[in-house]
Amino acid sequence: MSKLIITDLLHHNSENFSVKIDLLAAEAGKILCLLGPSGCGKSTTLRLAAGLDNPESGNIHINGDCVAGAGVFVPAEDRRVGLVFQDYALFPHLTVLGNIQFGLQNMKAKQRREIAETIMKKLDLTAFSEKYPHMLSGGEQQRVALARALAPNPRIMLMDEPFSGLDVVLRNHVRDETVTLLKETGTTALLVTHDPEEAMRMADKIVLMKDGRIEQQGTPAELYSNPKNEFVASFLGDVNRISAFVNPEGLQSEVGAILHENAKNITGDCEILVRPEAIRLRPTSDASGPTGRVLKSRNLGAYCLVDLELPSGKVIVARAATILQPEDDQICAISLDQRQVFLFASV
Amino acid sequence: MAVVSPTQNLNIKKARSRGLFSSLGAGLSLLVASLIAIPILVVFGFIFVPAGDIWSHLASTVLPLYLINTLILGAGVAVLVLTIGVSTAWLVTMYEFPGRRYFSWALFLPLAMPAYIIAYTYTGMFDFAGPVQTFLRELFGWGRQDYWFPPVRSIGGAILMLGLVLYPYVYLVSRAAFLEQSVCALEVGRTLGRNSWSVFREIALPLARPAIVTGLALALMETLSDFGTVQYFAVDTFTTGIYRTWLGLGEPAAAAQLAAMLMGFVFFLVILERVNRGARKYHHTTGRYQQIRRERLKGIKALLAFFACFAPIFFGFLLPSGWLLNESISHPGSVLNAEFPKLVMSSISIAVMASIFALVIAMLLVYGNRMGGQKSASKIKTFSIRVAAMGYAIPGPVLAVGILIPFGFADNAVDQFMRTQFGVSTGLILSGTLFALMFAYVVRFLAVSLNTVEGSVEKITPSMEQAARTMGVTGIRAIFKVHVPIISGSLMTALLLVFVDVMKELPATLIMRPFGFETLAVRAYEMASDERLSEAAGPSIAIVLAGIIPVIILSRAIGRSRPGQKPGEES
Repeated sequence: MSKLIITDLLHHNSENFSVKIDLLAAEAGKILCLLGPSGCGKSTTLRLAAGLDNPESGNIHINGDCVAGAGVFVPAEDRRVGLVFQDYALFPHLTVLGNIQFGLQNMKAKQRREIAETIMKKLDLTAFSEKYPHMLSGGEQQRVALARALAPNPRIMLMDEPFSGLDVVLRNHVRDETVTLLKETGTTALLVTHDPEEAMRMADKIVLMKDGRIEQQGTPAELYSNPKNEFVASFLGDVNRISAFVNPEGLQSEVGAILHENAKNITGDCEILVRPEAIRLRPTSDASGPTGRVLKSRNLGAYCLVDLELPSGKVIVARAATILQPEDDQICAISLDQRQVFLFASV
Repeated sequence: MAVVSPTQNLNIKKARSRGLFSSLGAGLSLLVASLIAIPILVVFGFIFVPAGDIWSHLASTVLPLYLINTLILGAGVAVLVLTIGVSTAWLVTMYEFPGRRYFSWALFLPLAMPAYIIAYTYTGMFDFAGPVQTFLRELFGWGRQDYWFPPVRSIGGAILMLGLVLYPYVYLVSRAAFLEQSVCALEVGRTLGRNSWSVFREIALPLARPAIVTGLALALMETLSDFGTVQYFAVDTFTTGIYRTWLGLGEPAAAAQLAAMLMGFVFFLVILERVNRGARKYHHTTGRYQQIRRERLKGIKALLAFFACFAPIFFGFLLPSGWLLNESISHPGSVLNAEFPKLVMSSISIAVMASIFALVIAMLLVYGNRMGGQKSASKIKTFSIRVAAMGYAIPGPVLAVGILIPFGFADNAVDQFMRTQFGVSTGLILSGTLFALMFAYVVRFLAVSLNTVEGSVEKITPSMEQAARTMGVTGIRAIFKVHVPIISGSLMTALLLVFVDVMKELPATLIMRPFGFETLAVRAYEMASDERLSEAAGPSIAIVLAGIIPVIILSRAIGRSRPGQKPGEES
């Protein structure tokens, strides 16, 4: 069942920027990531879902109720959605408890207290209940923002870059914690991020946007290994662009012959996109197959990045396990993992 | 190392001379601060001087009246400025409605209207002989006894007049505070199920409260120091009491004691503001700002918002200045006479001089403080700056009393000395001179130029100076190549702000001016006191026109100030 469905949406942010979404659906209990470079319309989509902006046309349904559509607009305060901003936007004049109880009006004091206490316990915030936001660390503030949004039992959680304020070490930890919490509480979430790693780490489904349009949606694995176009391929991970051509024997390139189903639609010159980890290196003295000369290699701990000069002078990057790190100036034979080589019909 | 190289030696010498400069700077700052502190010290010193019978006479007759009137006036003005200032600030910040763009700066306009001038114009319009009542009488055939019309010249009228011209202080700070708030916090409030009224009351207002109290304190200080309005409306307060006790009864000691009581009120406000600022300084939890998306109001709501913003501008500025213009045009004699250019010239020249003095002193203090040096010296300098900035809180009549008493004493002492030693009488050297008046202006308005200069010099970070130094630009060259281009705009602002404040100043000028010396403000006051309202219009309109200058500066500065606002986007 879908919690949030957006259909035929059109909204102009300014004269020359619009968001147009034909269909976007968030499944119940799943985490949906809106991913894209800044200015792609992902935050606008989130604001429209929250009811902070009113779309020009299109429909938005939450739990089957129409919250925006022809003649209907349910404002933010009546949508029962939870919102977490990048900067958390905690109320600085209220304590942690006051912040968490803010969305629990129209309830008896005792009930409010109980709900707040349960959620604080779950998020390990009980010790901070009387503190003010500025007295807390970044990670603690993030948890308060999460608790505040979860307390009124929202129908969907909307999060706008909720981890980008945290330092790298804390970020991964808090991400995992958040996923656990959302899964535990069975909360549906729409998460906006510009970080592909974050999206792949957290999402059940990713919606990749560019210039106000959806480029592709699917599971993280689908998007990474089966991108629909060049933008998707290069946004989700590094790629090498290598020129290639199609002749009667098939797709040929400096790094070898490639079997690709799109090759039959192409004649003449084209370009292939190859992920660094798809390039396998083996030191060799035999120059019969495709080879490259190692310019330099950088050890990054678990793996190393190798700058490789092809006979044509083109430099590509390969990723290899650290134990396989080649020497500089070494000539290596190149073989490809064909599943991670992309060819798009029109480049 | 025992050997000191020549360059090291030079460096030591330099360091020593820097220390010396620093001490000199500290001494200078302290000197300026003590000169500025003189009036306050004198006034408070008189608490301990027995004033004799006159004091018990004052205490039993007028003192309770002064107290009650001052309190009523303060409370009334507080309610009025808070209501108008906060609500209009919220409307223009958060909503979109017809005219909003214009209102956001036009709401400052009443700041250009000195309270005493709006008081004359409203009296002219709404008093018994004014056009409104005359029209009503003609329309309904009423006689003098047949109807009731709210009296303009009353304490209620004074509250209304002061409220109409002082609300911009509250508007100014609340608007800045609302603009500064994270829109995200308000939006989260909405998604947590609160409507916009609840979000305003429970998030925006508490967050803006420290700023609003600051604006209120400023408006109340202006209320306490108002002289022209209450004098004209015959509402007895401390300022009129000081004036009367000094000039009418000729009792400097009693006047000084009244002044001390008034200063007590002022200090209460200063402390209130400081405590409030210190106690609950909300740490904004955000560094991110978004463009404010104003909610578009429609229909009756848009109309109400329009009138809520239009009314204060209309009654606080458009109506009175329109009346003044009309009066000066229909009585051209009040402007087109031989004296008017002389008045304008004397007003302008004294205001220019005072603003230059204030600027020079402010620059000395700020740069003296910036030079750094030993800890003790820089502490003295910081303290001196704080003292020097306090003059703004001294009401004009108090200032006059606090300056004339010691100046008179000095004059007498010199005169006595010269007569006994040389048999010559020197008469009055200081009192009743332009020098005394200029001194008063500088004491009162130094804070204005000080704050402006300080604010702009702070923008020049030490790393900018260090960057210039690595490129070989130091000393005087650094001042001209780095400092001057950055602060020149603000120096101009400082000059203008003081200039206009001096143009508008009434009570100190009235009491301290040399015999026969008149400014536009004094002339307007005198004409109005003689019930020659139409003749007061010419000088008044000139003052109002000058007063518009800082309004423009302010509204431009604020429009640019919001973080996260795109350049060119009007806020």
